Amino acid sequence: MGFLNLFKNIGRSASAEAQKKADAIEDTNAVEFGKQDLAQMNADLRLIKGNIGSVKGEIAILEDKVKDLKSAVAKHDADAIALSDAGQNELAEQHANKAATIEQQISSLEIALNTQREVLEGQIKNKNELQMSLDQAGADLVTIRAMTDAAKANETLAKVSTSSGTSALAAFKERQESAKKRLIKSQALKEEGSADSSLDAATAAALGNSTAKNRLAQLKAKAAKPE
Amino acid sequence: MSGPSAIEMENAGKILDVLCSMEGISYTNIRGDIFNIVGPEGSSCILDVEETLVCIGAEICDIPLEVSQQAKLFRCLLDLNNEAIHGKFAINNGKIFFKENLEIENLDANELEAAIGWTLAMVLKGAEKISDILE
Repeated sequence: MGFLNLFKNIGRSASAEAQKKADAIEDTNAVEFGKQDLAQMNADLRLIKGNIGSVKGEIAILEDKVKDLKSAVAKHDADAIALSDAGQNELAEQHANKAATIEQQISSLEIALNTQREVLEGQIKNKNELQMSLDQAGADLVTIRAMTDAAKANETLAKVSTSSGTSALAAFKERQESAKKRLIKSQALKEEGSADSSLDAATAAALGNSTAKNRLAQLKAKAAKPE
Repeated sequence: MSGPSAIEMENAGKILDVLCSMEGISYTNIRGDIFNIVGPEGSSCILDVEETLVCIGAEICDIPLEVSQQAKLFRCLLDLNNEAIHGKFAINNGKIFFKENLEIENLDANELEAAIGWTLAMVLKGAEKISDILE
């Protein structure tokens, strides 16, 4: 299953409960498939990197050979000129022939070298493309894992909220209700207190009057009493 | 609900350290990786630790059946979302939730504390506003 398809599965919405369960399984699988895809791509990348190493080795060997053969050609050419100058034409010709033969070898080696360089270029291009795909797949996997975790958390939140049985609104209303009750109770206590205090005042006033009357009676009695 | 994985439990340990050091909240461990957090004003939220995320959320209420109330309510939720620095009000399965997800990788304790504090405040504010609308 390709990464894009996996990604689409994550975003799929479904109304039916059965579909949701199926999606949940697919979402969980999406992470596993994504991990497997990444592992496969990493293995492919390692293989390509290994191939690049081999091709580079081949190129180095060919380059060394060409270099050696070019040195040999230069030596034969120099010998041919020196021998020709010394009048040793036959030997000079042999060196010239040898140099020509080696040059043919060099040109066929250079064809092989160019082929290997093209192969290397292709491998490097493949490696870069695979590396880009791998980076993208890694980023996609992070997103898929986060989305799967978010979906799991949604499910948990719904289940935990349902099991606790109190929504924030219900709890708020409960708190509001109990605050109201407390307010009513305190008002009632206050009213009761004020009723008590007015009764006390009336009693005190009444008692105060009678005390005054009593005192007046006592004073009158005292005044009437002979010394 | 399957049990927590080893990574989730390890992450939950780190979160617990942050909760321990937070002032003004109380919490209970519902399951190894799930916590119920209660704020100073009495509002509460659920904190669920996943492998890559910490998900904080609370159920606010059911979506009312009456269409006129729904319209007012959704507008109110959008207004509240506009005010929110952390998290958002969301609907899921006929219910209204407040939710905030934080990535665990490189999670900072201050960021988590702010998200929890903000969630508790928004849950309270959301409940109050929604209560006014539904009355």
